Amino acid sequence: MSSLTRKAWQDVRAGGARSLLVAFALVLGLWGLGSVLVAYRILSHDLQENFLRTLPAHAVLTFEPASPLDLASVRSRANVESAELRDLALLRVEVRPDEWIPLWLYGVENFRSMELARVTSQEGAAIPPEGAMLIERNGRLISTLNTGVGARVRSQDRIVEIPVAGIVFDPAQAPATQDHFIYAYSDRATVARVSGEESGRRLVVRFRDVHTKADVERAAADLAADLAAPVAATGRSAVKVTVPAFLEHPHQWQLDTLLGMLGSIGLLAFLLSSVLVSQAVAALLAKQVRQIGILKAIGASRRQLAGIFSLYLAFFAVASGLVAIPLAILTGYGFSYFCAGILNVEILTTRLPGETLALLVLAALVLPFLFAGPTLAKASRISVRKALAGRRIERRSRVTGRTVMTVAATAMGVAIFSTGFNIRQSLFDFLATTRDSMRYDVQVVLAEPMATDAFSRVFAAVGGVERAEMWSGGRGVLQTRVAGTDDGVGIVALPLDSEMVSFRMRSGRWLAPSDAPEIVINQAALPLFRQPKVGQPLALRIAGDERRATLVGIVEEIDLPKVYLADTLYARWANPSGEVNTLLLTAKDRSFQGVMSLKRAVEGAIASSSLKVSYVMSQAERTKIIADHLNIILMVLLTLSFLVLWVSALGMASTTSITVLERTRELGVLRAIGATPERILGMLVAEGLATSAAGLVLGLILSRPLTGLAASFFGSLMLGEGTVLRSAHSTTGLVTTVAVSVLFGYLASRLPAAGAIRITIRRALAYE
Amino acid sequence: MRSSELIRLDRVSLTYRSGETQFQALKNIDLTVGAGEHLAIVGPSGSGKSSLLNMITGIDHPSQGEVVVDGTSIRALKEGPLARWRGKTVGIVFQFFQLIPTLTVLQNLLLAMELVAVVPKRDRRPRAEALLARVGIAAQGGKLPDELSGGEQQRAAIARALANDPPLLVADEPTGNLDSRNADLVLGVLHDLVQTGKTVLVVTHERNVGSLFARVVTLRDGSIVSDEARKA
Repeated sequence: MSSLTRKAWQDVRAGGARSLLVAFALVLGLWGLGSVLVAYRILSHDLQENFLRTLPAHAVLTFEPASPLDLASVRSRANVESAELRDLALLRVEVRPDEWIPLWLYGVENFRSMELARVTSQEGAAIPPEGAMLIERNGRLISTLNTGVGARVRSQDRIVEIPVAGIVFDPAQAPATQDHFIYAYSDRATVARVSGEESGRRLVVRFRDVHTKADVERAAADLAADLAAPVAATGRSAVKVTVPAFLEHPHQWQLDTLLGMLGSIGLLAFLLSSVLVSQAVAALLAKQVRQIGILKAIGASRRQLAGIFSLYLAFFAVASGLVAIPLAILTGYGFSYFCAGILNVEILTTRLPGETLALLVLAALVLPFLFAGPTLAKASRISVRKALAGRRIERRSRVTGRTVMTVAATAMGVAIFSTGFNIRQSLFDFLATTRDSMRYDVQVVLAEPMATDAFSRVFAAVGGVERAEMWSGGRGVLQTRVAGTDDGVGIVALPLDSEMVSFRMRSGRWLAPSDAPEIVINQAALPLFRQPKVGQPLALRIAGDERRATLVGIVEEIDLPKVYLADTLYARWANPSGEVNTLLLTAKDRSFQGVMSLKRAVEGAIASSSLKVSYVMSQAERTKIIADHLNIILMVLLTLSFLVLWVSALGMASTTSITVLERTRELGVLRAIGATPERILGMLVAEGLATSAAGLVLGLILSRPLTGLAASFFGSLMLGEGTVLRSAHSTTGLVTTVAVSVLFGYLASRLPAAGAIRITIRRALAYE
Repeated sequence: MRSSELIRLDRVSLTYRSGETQFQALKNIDLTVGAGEHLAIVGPSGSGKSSLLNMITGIDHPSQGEVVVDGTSIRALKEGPLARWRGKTVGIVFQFFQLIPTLTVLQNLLLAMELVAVVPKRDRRPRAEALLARVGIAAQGGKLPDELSGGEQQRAAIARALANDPPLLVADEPTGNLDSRNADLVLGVLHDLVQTGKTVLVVTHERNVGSLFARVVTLRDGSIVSDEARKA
């Protein structure tokens, strides 16, 4: 080992606690950054890869019953990559005794040769025997269904038992745990027999040479037009085209949100770590300044000094890399598996690609130089005379700078932590508003509209009902299929004097009696109407006819795009017989038990009827579904916010340690002239708490604009472009933030202070 | 008789500024030192001795005037070449020894040689050991500086100053931190160096120490007040 290398190594060793601090700070930064890199690489790749491996359909074309379809001619079209008839029956399945949820039962043309929208067998039969079905694996988490179990399925007015022959994995579906649907797959004959619906009415297609949703829409429209031609003479709208987001997982937004949060936190860890490292290195150098002078005096050039310091940093780089890279891989994979579980996808990246590993190693090697380089460069520039005089590198400004940095780091932690709570509160508020906006307890949704009298007769004997209303359409994806515009915006036609809704208006007003047609839309529909303003006339295409109405209001809700209008107007436009498909009930006893009791009574009434029910759901369950969508994000948000506060507290502890170390001699003098250890302890803790308090106040001030920004960011990400969550201020969050900050501030100064008074006065006075 | 010139200071002045205040540490110093001279610069504290030494070693630069050492005008050198020049030309012994505390005594010498690289690699360790033997601390080579007495540390510092065989050795208060026995030992080592042809320049505030040197330059308030040859 050369003398230069030996000196660098001995300096690392001689740094003792300070060297450990530098290494710790580097590990922290690299760990944060590395975890983000690893998780980002895995999740961004694997979610998409899971989805793409199923060869998802670009478009779904649905035909009127008895429409002729020449599948061979579709497949022979130049721009069609693959096409299959994939029936879909919307049924209900009993997941626990008397608990029914929607069952999406797909009729597969040929399980052996699925050319698109493929599923993968994971357990039991890969091909279900006739009359049996396969269950998507995520459904097991919300039901007692499993291989070998006979599932009770309600189809129209009857209940049939369908054996579950096996479990499949379909990552292209929204997770059952979040949407509370069960997805199942059977042969087309079985689906037709169970549902009583005609087979061959639903075509799934993949096109060649399509790169955007617009490409798909054009190709699908052409195909639909050609397929519709044979039945055009009948005057019916023969084909309905549905084009999902282009090659995008249904819950991509959740992943984007999680990755966004992960990225932000990783960046913060990186920034805090950089502050910590530069401070710790500066503290280490404080002891080295005289040595720099000696080295220069005995002939060391600046380049040689740079060499020594490079070696010095290289030791830290290697040590921190050895610890942080495995940790980053571990936590990156941990986070990825966590997200994969939530999104029902599999982690396919079993080995990190070379470039990701190389990036991690590069980060480990570069970070120390990035963080500490400027401080070292400054140190190597100090003149020999100043260095030999033991003059520290701009001591006063460094201490002031360190205090500023500590306050800034604490403020950053406090601001993020507080913002986390505030956003959580905003989401809770949003959820409460959503819950309150629908003032019913139980809703019964039919697969097909029917006359109001016949519908209400079924439930005439159900007791415990305070109020009842009947609508056309309603919330959720299934409702849009029953009542919707031709381009897929859900319609909710309800009485003007409805007591079942009370939305928070984003702008404008709710529906009111008017001679002119009026509509209200929710914020999810805004982009589809090109961000209209209240008062603007909008055109709707319903059942082939264009209808015009004035937009009078925009409401906030978590749902698919919806248009609200008066049931009388809808009757004039497209529902002359006044049929409805949704029954809304308010319970006399609105407690959870009371609502569940009403729901059971409703199910009992349905069981003995011939209603074609899509689903029966209580508001409590609906709220739970929405909460489940947001819960994971809230949980991650709070955890990561706490992590930032924790990291900033560690940063504060580290910088306080450095400051206390540097003041060792001063503390020795104070003790020599009579200051008791308790007095010194009190003094240092008070200083720490003062710094912490400054950070706390600054952080709380910062959290206000940050909350606004985050509300905008998360609102857009989760609820649609341009949607801003209302800024809320969480009292719980404020109290927790203050309590945690004060506690951290106390510990961060108490621990190093305790160490400082343990050394003897003689050693303290001799400290250099 | 003075041999060929090794150090020349022409009208050297040094002014320190601190805010509005100015302090003139050196005033129009003219000084010539020949090769092989054994010279003491004496004077009370604050007389400008260390500042003068800093001019000669290139640790500091004059506000006015010129410093030429071994034929090189120091002011003309940039930082890198100056460091290399210093390593080859001047061996410096400090009052507080200034050994690298994390390296052993031997390693301190090896480091000095590695930095300047005038001694071939294979010769460095034998040379370092020989130098330690020459100053009487051969057995202490493997120890850290903290494990040595003050006198031993100063002798180690002298050995380090000689590591690259410079023609000039300057010592700033080399005995200021030593007891009389160790001070005598160190002065003895420095005196012996003159016999090997080295130019030895020692800064001290102790006038009785100055009497051991062939030439004594006395400074007061930044000016040379006397320049005396003491003995042959």
